[in-house]
Amino acid sequence: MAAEYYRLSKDKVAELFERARADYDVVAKTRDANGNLVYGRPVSFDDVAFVDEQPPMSAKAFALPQTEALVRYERENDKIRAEGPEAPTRDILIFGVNMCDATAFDIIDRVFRWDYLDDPYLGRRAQTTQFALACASIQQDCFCDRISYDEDGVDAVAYDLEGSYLIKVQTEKGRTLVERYKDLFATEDGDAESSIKAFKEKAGTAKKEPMLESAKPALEKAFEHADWEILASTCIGCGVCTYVCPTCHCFDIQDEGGSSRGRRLRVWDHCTGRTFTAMAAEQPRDRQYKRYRQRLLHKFWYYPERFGPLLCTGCGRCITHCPVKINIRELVEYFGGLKDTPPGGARHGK
Amino acid sequence: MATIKEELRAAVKKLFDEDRIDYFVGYVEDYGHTFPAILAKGSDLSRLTFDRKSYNNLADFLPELRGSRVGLVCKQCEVRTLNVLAAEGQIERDKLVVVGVPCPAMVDPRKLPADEAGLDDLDESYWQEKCRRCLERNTPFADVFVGERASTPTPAEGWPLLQEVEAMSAEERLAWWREQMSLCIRCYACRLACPLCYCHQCFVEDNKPQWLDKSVRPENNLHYHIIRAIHLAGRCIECQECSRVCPVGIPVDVLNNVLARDFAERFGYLAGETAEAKPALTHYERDDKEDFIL
Repeated sequence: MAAEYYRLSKDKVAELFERARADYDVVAKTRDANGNLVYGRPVSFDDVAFVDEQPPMSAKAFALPQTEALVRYERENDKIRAEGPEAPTRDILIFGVNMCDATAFDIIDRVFRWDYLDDPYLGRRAQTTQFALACASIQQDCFCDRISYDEDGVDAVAYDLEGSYLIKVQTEKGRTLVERYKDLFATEDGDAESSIKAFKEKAGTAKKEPMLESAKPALEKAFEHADWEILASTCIGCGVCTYVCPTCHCFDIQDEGGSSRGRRLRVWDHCTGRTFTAMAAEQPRDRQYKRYRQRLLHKFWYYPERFGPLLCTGCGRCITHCPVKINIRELVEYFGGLKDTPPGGARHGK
Repeated sequence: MATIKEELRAAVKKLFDEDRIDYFVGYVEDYGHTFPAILAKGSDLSRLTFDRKSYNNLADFLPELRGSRVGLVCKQCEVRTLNVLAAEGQIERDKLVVVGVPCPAMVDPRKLPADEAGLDDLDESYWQEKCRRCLERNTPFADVFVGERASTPTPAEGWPLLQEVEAMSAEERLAWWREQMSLCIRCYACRLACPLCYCHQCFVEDNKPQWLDKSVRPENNLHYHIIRAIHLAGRCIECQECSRVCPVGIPVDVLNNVLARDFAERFGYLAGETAEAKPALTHYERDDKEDFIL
């Protein structure tokens, strides 16, 4: 559908939030028991955190939970009862989701509806509406300004134009949201796209050359580059970057339980780990730097080769939360020929 | 007077020039972060640094470099780790050049102000917990000392979070841990950032038998953290890297801290305090206290 534009006055946001809770399971940024930011279920509107900062965990778990039962079975005498995956009982509205998390869904969708239709994932996606809040500032590790992917596929986006929010609606699910609470939204008559452009310029999220897509031709020739080893050898092989990533979607299938009762589970997995794909034989990448290289090249070469966009929204979480602060943007620029010097200065290989 | 960065860069250059090391493991600064780097001869040393964001326990990188002659910038936490690793036969001390630096106390990355201009002046309310209670900022030994000796710190009394947890009833404490464990995503950053978790195959990776289910649930997560804490009993030197690297902010090190305190009380033993001390749990002394054995 063609984009539609509306206005939402700031003093109507609390009402929108409360009324939406009657129709949706509303998820928003809030604080956990330790005071850390999470996508959770705020008790009241006052618990919603309106900040640009991203929660460490992205919103992907609402479509792809970390642990999900694909089959549950129980045997009683000679009777076997099996159940498929549980769908959410209510539609989910992710209220104020960061753009880097909202756009990620459209990117992962391409994998899950590619040759095999992944029903549990696609079912949850169909039940999820994203109501994104565009950032008014760019954080230290963010690089969404260097990735072409923009508002693609996001149901509705709010731009904070001081007095009120400009709402851009792009999908049927977004339109349903506005239709349901029509009295709260005003139609937008002005040149909305110009306002959005000015907003992004001011926020620092407007696109800046060179875009990271342009690194691909050089990355395709850099697989055997001598510097991978020295630059990626500080990688400790944990799962932080992949688990906090809004677009990483690899999983493992595990059986738990026994002959009378059990579950077949889908569980997140990470290519940076030592036991990734070890179920058949061995992890095919015998050194840590090769595992790190796999993650980077999957995002900036292999995935775009097959699906088009990068497998990255530039959220920068994998830099912020990396225990050793490996910087994927800097490494893409270096191995992708956009920069002469690697992060931390020239190193010499082993 | 030369700054600590300049002294460090000169010292490392000398180690390479004199062909005493193959690699140097230190911190470099770039894109607003301070982070670990492995440098070989001929590398650019102009970004080498040591500041209040030199968080990591660099001993974690030694297994990767086994067999090579390695220089390592060491704050007191690393030196204690090296003592444990040496006592457990994990490092070749004669292949290691320890560059000792006085520690200025590390800033808690979760409290890092947006404007880092005054980083050096931040008071203890911004420090990492271990640094608040630190007893000694200088390394007890080093092959090369860099920087001016730091004065003896005044350690803070106790750890507020630990006191809070200990004041809870058993039921409250279990509920608190369940809540913390519900946040865990089993990325294993705590294990992999820990220089003393060096097992080639961790029990969490075994699948014949599978000791730990892969499903991420509070009870499985707690199982993992308890086993890890027990494997580190009497070994953990409390660098608190496990908690620092946790992306979801679980204070994992509360478990380790309590066990370390038990070792101090029961055996008068502080892991890694000296190079000579034998590992507490694999060594017997006739005068070991036995009053807690049933």
